[in-house]
Amino acid sequence: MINQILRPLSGLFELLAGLATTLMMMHILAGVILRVVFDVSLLGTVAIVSYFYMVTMVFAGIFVVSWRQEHIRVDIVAELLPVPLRRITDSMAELASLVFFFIFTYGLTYSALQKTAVHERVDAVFSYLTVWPLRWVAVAGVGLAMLVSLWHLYHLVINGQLPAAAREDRADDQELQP
Amino acid sequence: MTPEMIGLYGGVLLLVLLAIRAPIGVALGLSGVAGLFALRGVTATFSAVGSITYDFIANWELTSVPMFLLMGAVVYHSGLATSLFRAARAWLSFLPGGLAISTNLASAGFAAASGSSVAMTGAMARLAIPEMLRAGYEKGLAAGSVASAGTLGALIPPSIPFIIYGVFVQESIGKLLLAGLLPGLLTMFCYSVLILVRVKLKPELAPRTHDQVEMKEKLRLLARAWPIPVMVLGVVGGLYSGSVTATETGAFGAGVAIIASIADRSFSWRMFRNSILETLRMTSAIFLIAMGAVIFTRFLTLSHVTVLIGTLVSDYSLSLPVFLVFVSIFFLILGMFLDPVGLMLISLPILQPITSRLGVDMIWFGVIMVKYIEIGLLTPPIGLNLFVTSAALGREFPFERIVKGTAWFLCAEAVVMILIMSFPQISLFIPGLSGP
Repeated sequence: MINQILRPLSGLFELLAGLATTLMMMHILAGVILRVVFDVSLLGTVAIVSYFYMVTMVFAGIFVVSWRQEHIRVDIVAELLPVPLRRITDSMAELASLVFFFIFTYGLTYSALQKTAVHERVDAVFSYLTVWPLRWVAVAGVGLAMLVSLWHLYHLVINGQLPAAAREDRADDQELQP
Repeated sequence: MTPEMIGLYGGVLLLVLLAIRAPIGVALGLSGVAGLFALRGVTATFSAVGSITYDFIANWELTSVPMFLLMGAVVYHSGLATSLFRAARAWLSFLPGGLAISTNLASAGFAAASGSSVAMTGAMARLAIPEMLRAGYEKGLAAGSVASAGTLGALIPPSIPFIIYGVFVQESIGKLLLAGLLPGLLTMFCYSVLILVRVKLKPELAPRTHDQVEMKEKLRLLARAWPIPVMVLGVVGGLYSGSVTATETGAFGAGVAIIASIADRSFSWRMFRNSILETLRMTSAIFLIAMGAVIFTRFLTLSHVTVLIGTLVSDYSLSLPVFLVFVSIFFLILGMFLDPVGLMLISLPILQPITSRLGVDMIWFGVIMVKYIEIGLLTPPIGLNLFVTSAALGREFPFERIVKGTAWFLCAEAVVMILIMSFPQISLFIPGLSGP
């Protein structure tokens, strides 16, 4: 059930973060060309890139990376352990992720509520930009990463291994490599 | 319980979480959160976790990381790296060990268009090793030259570790990126000399190839790699002049790579999509670690552990040479087990109070640190470049041969490290000449 929600959401967030990455590159490039070639400044680039594209890309990306089980880990000790013990340590690692993402989501929500109440804005030179909605993108990204950890933990405890859905997504992508 | 003791317990919790294979970012973040709970209580912790991480990410200087990753991803997926290797091969295959030296030079060129060592090693392993094996090269030499040349990616600008280091120690990112240029070229030179000397002494390691490439063909291959010099000029020239930021040079490089792929007819939406997705995944994975490190650093500062370390340095009159020996041992051991960015971000909060107490130049120290974390990519059991090379070659290629072949290059690294530590000007000369 949770898989049927998380999988399409992962695709949606991947699209959102991908769009943010593409727009970031195009926006900065346009700013450089305008400044170097035409001596015209593209006002607000720093604020827009830092608060809109960067926040969307990183926090939406955290959910995507969690879903695809692509976080960077240290394998050396765990690989030396016998399989039954490894299942326990894997479950503990997933529990640690769940607890951290829960606290992280709570902290981001706490901060987002405060900034929403004051209608957070930043100085973008030409005007003030409303940036508080981006706080909720961060909450959504990390909150969904927390759900992924919960789902992984459930699979580890019940089936003794991580779910296959993310591995299938990764395999699909590898077929696209040059 | 004293804050210092809480700080030490936080360090122990971090090691336990790393050992059970929690993601590095989670291990750092959770240890930091637990420590902050103990020191400051629940409300202050939630407030800190929500605000410091978000403010850290909404940061213009860090936006250079995805831009440089995108530049490298487009160069790889568009086949530009292949053109570069073919050009280097056509011009250098007459030398003893010419294919290995070509790999080295092509890696340096690719390094100027990519900030990630691991991505670069993966690309060069698939390109260069099959060519070397077909030419009868000894397996260890072929794999070792690729695995070690991959480390040039983090030294020759652009470099992701330098950007993250710069943000954490609040040093000029432009100057740090320029500081890696000469050490990177010095490393490339030492690797090439090593290959040349080994093959001269033992010619069977690398039989001469009898490629007869006409001058016209050589020039044609060189012309196909045109975007690389344009990118180098854009990135290094832009940083040197100080007229553009690191982020802008990254976006410029990514733009040049895309235009080049369109001109070369290698552009496709699938290639573009893959480059974008690879960029966002790598960026998010790196920044989760960085956010964890931000929380952990805040905790260590509040626990006064950093002050304690500084006091210990004063009490024991730690000198710079002794500190450098300590740092070398520290990084060589931890580098065997930890991923490069993780290693840097775990060790910075501990080492920074010592460097500031000793008055160490943080740009020079940044070069030493990045060199060591890159050497960690070549040392078993967790040398990532060894695994990436192995993964690109398949199971039939023995892992031990890769390790043995790389060991020779570690000897060259020892020479480079002694030079960098003895002559800080190797790192500081170019940044000293550049603009503000």
